[in-house]
Amino acid sequence: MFKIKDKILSSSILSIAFTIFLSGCASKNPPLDRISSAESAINRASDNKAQIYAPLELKIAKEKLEKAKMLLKDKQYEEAAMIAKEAKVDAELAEEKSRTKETQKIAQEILDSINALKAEIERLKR
Amino acid sequence: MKKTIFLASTAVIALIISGCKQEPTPELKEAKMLYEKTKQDVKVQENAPIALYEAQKTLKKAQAAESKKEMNHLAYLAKRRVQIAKEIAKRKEALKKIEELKQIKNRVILEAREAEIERAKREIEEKSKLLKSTEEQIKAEKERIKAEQEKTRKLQQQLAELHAKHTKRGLVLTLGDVLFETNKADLLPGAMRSIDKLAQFLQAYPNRKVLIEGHTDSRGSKAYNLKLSQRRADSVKRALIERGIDPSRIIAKGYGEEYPVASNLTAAGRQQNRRVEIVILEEGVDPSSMMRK
Repeated sequence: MFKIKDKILSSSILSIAFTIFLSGCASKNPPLDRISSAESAINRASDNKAQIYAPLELKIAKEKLEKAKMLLKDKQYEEAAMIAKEAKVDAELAEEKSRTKETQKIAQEILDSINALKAEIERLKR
Repeated sequence: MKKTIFLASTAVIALIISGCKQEPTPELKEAKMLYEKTKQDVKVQENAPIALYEAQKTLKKAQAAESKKEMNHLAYLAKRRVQIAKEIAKRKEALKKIEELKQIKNRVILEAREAEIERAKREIEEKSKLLKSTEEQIKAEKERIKAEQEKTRKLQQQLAELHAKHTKRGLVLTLGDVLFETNKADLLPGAMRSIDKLAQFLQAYPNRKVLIEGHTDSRGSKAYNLKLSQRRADSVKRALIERGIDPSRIIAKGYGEEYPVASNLTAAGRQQNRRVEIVILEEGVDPSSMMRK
């Protein structure tokens, strides 16, 4: 009696533990929201001229998004979610970098105009 | 049997734990190093605290990751977030710089306007100076022309008063016989007015020279007439020299009865022939070239 009970008990513990393990690490649903937020991050980066200012980061983000979409088709949801998340962060970096470079460009333009004005002043004083 | 169950459970738990416990991967170490280094940067601390905090959170998750794959994934995200924080910090710095530069630019624009105004003032000053000097030149020129006209007018007046005649040789004025003592060379006081005017004229025109020619009628000997005409011409010359005219400008010569201007048969004609003619030459003309043969 005891032996049988023990067997049942141990196998049930095992199955419960395994279930917990699986549910803890694997997604059951397709990560559609992750993919769409990666897409919108890429769009924001493009809107901020990432094509010019951060072409590599943008390219990596786009490639990862494509990979995530393929994994989604293959129902490898967990993997797809991870890659989509990376794509989003890549795109975010591309956006930040682009905005920074654009800002620096504006600063440089103001500096250039100041120097042009100074040269004009020198010319006027001559 | 209880022992067996315990062992089995422990094994399962150990399996779960070992599945979740992961030694740090090189990717994690790299992300951590990048984070630690960036955290030291005061500008990132000040300008991107939230992004830095996000990176830190992700890094902690990565350190607690249960698999190598998850750890590397989270380390990657952490690394990207550190990079994002750095970009944000750089942008905030650039924005601060833009504000500073805008203020500088406003100052420089003011300076440029001031310089333009100064320049314009300078140009106006230069132009007004130029205008003033041009006006002065015009005034001086007008005065010069006026003086010239006045001189010409006076000359014409003087010439009219002297009754000078324009001829090919120059202006000719005649001192008649009545201005000399009879048969003598001395000038009578009546001649002095004409001599004075002539002297004034010659002083006004220092480049004009004169020929003084004495003439007589045909009565008396030729030698006497020649001598008398020479003496009369000489006395006119002397009178001019006394009035300050340079002797080198004057040639005086007697021609006797050689060049009558009227008939010697009548008394009136003879009186006309007794005369001294003064030829005022044009400017720069050499007197010897204009002498009678």
